[in-house]
Amino acid sequence: MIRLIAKEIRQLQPIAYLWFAILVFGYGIQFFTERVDENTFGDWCEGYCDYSANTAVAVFIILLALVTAYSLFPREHDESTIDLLRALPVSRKSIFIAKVFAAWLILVGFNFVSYGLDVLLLASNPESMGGKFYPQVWLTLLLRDCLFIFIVLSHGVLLSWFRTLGLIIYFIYLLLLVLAESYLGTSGDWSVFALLANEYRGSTLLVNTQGLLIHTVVAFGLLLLAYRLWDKTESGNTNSRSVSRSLRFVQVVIGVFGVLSLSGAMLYQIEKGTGSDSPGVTVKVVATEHYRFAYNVSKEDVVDYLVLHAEDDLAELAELMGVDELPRIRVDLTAQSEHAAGLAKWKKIQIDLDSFEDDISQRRVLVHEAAHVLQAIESNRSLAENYPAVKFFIEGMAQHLSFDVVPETLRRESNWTLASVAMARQGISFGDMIDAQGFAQSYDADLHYSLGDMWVEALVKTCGSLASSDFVRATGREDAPRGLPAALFWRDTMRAIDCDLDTVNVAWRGSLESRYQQIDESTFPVFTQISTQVVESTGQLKISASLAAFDSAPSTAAASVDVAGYATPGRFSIRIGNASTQIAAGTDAVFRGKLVQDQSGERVEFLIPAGALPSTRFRYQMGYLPTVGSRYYYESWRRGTVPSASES
Amino acid sequence: MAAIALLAKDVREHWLPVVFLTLGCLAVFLLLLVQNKQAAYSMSTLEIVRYALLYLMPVVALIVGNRLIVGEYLSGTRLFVEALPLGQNLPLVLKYLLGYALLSGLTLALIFLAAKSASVADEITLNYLVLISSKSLVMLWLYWSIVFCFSLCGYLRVLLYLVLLLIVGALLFFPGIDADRIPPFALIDQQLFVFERDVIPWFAIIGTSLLAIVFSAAGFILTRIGEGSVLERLSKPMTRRDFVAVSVLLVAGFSVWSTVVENTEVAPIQFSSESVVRNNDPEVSILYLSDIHKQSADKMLRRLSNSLVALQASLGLQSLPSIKIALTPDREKHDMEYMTSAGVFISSNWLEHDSYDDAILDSVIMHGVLSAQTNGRAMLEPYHWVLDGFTRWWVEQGNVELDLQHQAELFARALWVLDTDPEAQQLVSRWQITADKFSYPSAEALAWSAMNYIELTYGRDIVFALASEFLSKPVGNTLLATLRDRSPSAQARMEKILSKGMDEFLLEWVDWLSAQKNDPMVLSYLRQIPALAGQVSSEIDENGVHRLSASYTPRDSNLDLNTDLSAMSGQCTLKHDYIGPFDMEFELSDDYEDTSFCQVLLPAHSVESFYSSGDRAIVALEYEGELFHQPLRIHSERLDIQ
Repeated sequence: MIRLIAKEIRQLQPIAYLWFAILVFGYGIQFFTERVDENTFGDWCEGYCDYSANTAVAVFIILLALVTAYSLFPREHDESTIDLLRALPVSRKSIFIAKVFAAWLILVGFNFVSYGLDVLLLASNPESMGGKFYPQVWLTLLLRDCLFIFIVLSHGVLLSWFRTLGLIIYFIYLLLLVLAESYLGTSGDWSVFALLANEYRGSTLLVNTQGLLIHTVVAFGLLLLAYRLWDKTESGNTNSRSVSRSLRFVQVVIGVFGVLSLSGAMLYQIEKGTGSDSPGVTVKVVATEHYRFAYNVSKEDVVDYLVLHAEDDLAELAELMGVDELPRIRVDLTAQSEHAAGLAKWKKIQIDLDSFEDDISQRRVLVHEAAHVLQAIESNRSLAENYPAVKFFIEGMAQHLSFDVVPETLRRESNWTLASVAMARQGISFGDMIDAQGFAQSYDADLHYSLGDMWVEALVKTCGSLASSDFVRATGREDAPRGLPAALFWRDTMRAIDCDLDTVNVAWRGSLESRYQQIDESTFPVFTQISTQVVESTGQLKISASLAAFDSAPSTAAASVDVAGYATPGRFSIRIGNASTQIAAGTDAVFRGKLVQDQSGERVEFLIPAGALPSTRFRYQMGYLPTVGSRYYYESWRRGTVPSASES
Repeated sequence: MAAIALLAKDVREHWLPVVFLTLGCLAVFLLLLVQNKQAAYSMSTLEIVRYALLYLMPVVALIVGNRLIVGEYLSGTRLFVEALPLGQNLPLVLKYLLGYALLSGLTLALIFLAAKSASVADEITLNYLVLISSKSLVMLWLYWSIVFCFSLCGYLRVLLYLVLLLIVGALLFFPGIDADRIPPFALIDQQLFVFERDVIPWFAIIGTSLLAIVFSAAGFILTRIGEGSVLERLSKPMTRRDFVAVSVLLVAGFSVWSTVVENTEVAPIQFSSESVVRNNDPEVSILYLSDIHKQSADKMLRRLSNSLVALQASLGLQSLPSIKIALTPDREKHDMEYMTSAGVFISSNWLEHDSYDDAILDSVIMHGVLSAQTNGRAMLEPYHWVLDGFTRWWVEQGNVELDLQHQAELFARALWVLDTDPEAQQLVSRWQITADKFSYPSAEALAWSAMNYIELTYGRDIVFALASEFLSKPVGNTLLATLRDRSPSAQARMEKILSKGMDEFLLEWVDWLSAQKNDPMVLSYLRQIPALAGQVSSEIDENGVHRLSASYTPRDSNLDLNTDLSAMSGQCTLKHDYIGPFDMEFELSDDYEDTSFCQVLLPAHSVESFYSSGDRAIVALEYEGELFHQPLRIHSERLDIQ
């Protein structure tokens, strides 16, 4: 057996050289571009053993393992060299095992070399803290990668029987995962990507043991199936492989049946439409000089109002932005979305008319989205390139312009109040704002709108009414440097429009602070005494919290304030960080909370279904409606742990 | 006739796989349609065409190429076809057309399905369909040309695909390149492919077509070179030598590439406001926001310019980075934002500074200047104490007369650190731990005291020699530069300059420093430090609420610290924050803190509901008195919340 494995390893040498070249290339780049002794364990882990799933790493390993798996059997069969092997006095099972084991050994070998080199490099860091090594994390990762390679290799060995068609099958599998994450918010343990998800307890790495176990069992099953298939397959060129008449008949029947049934399913889907136009709904179209609206006839009144103001609003918007040439914009007013009142992509806008009750709000949403269209055109799509750094600006500017064109003073004031409370209590800085992903991890991502609105207000006050539009155009200037870190990008672009970022920031913080001084703090209590427990009967997680006044200082609140020094909000909400592996654009699950009375007084309870939690560790954000008609105010994101049975 | 016969042969040979491929594609199209309807931010069913072009059609092209070309060329059955009196080109041209026709058929079917499934809002017009189809077909042409060309390369094709993937990855992810403007990426731009209906992207279409022509031509030429001998050679398995040669070429190519494209130059930050005072040599700009602050900015500009000129001369520095300082009045007086990516940029509030606070700010600026000189290397632990110590020394007494009050405060801090943790004297091997445990101001005072001792005992030249050795030369970003810098070791280099063993030096310095505690001015500072130790505990109460508590206990000291808390006016503060699973130096901000009066009988701090089991937190207990300019960190630890 050992000689058989050795022979297979020899046969896989070309592929091994290829991986070796990639390994050398990777380390070569590192050796020529980095001072290797400054790498800390945290740096090494970045993008690899971070919290949550690491899809990019999974894709890379899947690629390596699939290519290796595909070089095991198909060529042997195509070139009939498998016949020579089968002529040897060893069982076919041994040949199969030897081949799979050899491929796994090669990949595991590279894994060991790579991890070994990394240990040496990390050990060269002489620092007392930066040079600290975490053997549990390193070893766990190494072993998990070896197991993951085995799992994907088993997929590859089976898929390779289908030759390149196997790639389509894998593609369908991946697409089903995307679908599951879109529909259900998670693809659970079915996802191969979830196997590389990381979670920590202190400094101890926790891996997805359940997922790994399930996939390992499945991998053995797949290998068994692959063995059956390859064992039954005779050698010979793919093109000239002889197929029995009965098998050919079965193939034809399956093929025809498959095409017909899938075509039928497809036709059914087409009949259902995009989801924008529900069955039985009549969609009409109305056009103005620059807009084309498609709408549900039942919304005719709102649309008439929108159409009446659309051109004037667009003209005013263009004037505010200094835009001379206006595009033709298609507006889909038939959309229904849980996620956004409006969306804009290049020259198309989609608005959910059920998002707001007032017509004027719908009109403002249209202006907001139209501002996005003009931003994209004026920046020649460069804003999108730097999206994480400018998200708050994109939304803030659209918000600012839309409120300027369609004043909704109360709504704007309410948004600004929320922003000022969040800024003061959660310590949000400009540095936080220019990192959209980091911001969404720590704060309420919707704050980008109101904080951005106030920032643009400060920009316009400091550097002139066209400053925001100039900034947009400056991002798309010909000589703009690419790929700058966010802080430098901002400084560089502000320099290009001759405006001091620091002056704007001072003005922005000043206006937020003065607004905070004016608010009634009692309408913004804080959650305290937070506890989590599992409800045994339902398996749900119960998160409960008390409310308290933000400060113990005597409240200046009016009659609505109770003795506790705060006004009890009417509605409560909790967001749970999404459980997807990020292969689809998922959104966080939101659950309502209720107010209950217990011995300690008023408490807010949230019930979370177990399926909404990514693992025993999760992220959550609690919020409430401070006043009627306002948006939800959310506190910072927190991390929680599902208590074990004994703790519950 | 011959062409029809050849086509019929291919159809006969491949019809069943084609049926299954179509089946697979239909399944994928179906899933794409379903997914598109559910996707959170989907705006048109036509988006699935782009998605399929990006992810599905390359795979389908690969499958078709493998069936039509690779199998035949690797197994040598093409020789039978070539032996027919049809010429060498016709079979290949037919395969080329057949493959493209199949791919086009599938894609057009997808476009048709997506268009039929679209809503009225999508306004599917003939012009729009023609535009989308044209873009898709051109893109497919490129895919098919690449597959056609690579398929003729026999066993080399896997490597070629991987190289292509790497090139595409590099173009897409290399920060200096805007791939969206380059064909073929421009053709399938996320925003324009579906949502631009009025402008025909001629540049992208022509560019992509040219690429397709190049790959197609390369494929056809390959079959003609040496009457097919190259093709013959490529259809043989690659040897070890082939792989090594290709790998070397690959590595070399990418090294050249990364060198060539590494040209992202950023202009230094410039203040454009009128409220700025400037100096050109050295380049210092100070933004002061309002006229009432101009005087203080002018004063700082003069101070800094003089100091920088003297520093440049003392260390023989060829140039200095540009320095920009922005006034941010809403900051606390010791709170600074610090950036060294393009020159040194500091955002700070100096309006309420006294001379000691100014020294702190200047020290931070010099820290940035000298760190930039070494390309950031001075921050590595074995050298970091030299950077911290020298910058503070320079600001305090390198170019001006040492203020005795400053000296006393710094000595008191340094003494207190060594009294609390004698291990802190290990400047070379434990600097990160010391800075993390006692915070930056105390660590800096310790390093300053060492520099002060070197000046008094060994002379100023030795101080400059140390700075020159560790703070004036840039260290490259390569393995070779790292090895050169590490050999000889930092300790050996220090010992050479000091002409003394490091242990001996540390011993002498600690003795000298201990003697400073008797200085009356130092003593007055030491008496303002409470003789306290701190403890932190983390617990979950019976209601499941997590609580972080901290308390203080009296501690013995060799210094004359204050044991009467009631006589002290300062406050005790608990600062805390989340940290990641791995230790690194962490500067605790004031964002999360709990302040109370200092007491030893009861727990002084309690923070509830902030952390949960499994979290990691850093917790520090600090004393903020009136005499010291910055807090004294009494206790610090990293907690694994249970």
